Amino acid sequence: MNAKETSTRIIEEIFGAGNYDLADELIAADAVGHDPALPEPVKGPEGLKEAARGYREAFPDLKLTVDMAIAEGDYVAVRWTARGTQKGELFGIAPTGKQATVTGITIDRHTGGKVAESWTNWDTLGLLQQLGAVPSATQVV
Amino acid sequence: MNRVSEGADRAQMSMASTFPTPDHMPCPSCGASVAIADDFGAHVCDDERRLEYRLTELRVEIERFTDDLASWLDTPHGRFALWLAEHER
Repeated sequence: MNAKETSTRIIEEIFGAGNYDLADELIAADAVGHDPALPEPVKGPEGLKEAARGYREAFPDLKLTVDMAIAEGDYVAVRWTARGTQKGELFGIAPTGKQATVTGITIDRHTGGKVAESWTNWDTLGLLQQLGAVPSATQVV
Repeated sequence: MNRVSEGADRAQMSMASTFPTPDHMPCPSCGASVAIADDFGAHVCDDERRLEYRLTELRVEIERFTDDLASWLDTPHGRFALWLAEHER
């Protein structure tokens, strides 16, 4: 499996399908993940499983698809789209039943066939707007 | 309009102009994610999804009704109603 496939499987299979055990195969034991939406860095396979579970408990039908992957050296940049229906609490927002579609970009650093560090930036504001927690421009003006 | 509220309105307008609008927004009737670039009017709600969305919106009221019903069924009137329903079944 090459680095692009590894990064794609983390997004689509762990976060997008709830195949949590795959984290043991694809994430280094001392890996660190940075997601500005989470209160602290994600550490190792267990941390990633916990983060994915948190998002999937809020959005049980969550699906992520990788739209593009670019590799250079040990790094892979992945552009992805996430879609789901909020059925559980997220960031203190009670279930709304609303569907949301957000995009994000994750850059992974690979070592020894596993991801050792990753940086994610995704459309958190867009999600909050779609859930009605923050007004969108069209609602405010 | 006084100066304070004018200022507040300007601040709100200014804040709004700095807020990006997402590509998708939920349909107000069924909560489905609809691309803004598409014609929002072309979206047709799925009946099952609309019902599910409404039930989610009403979950607090439904929970309260369930609790109230359980409490009432524990009263003399409620216990008699249960007995009568069983008797007439």
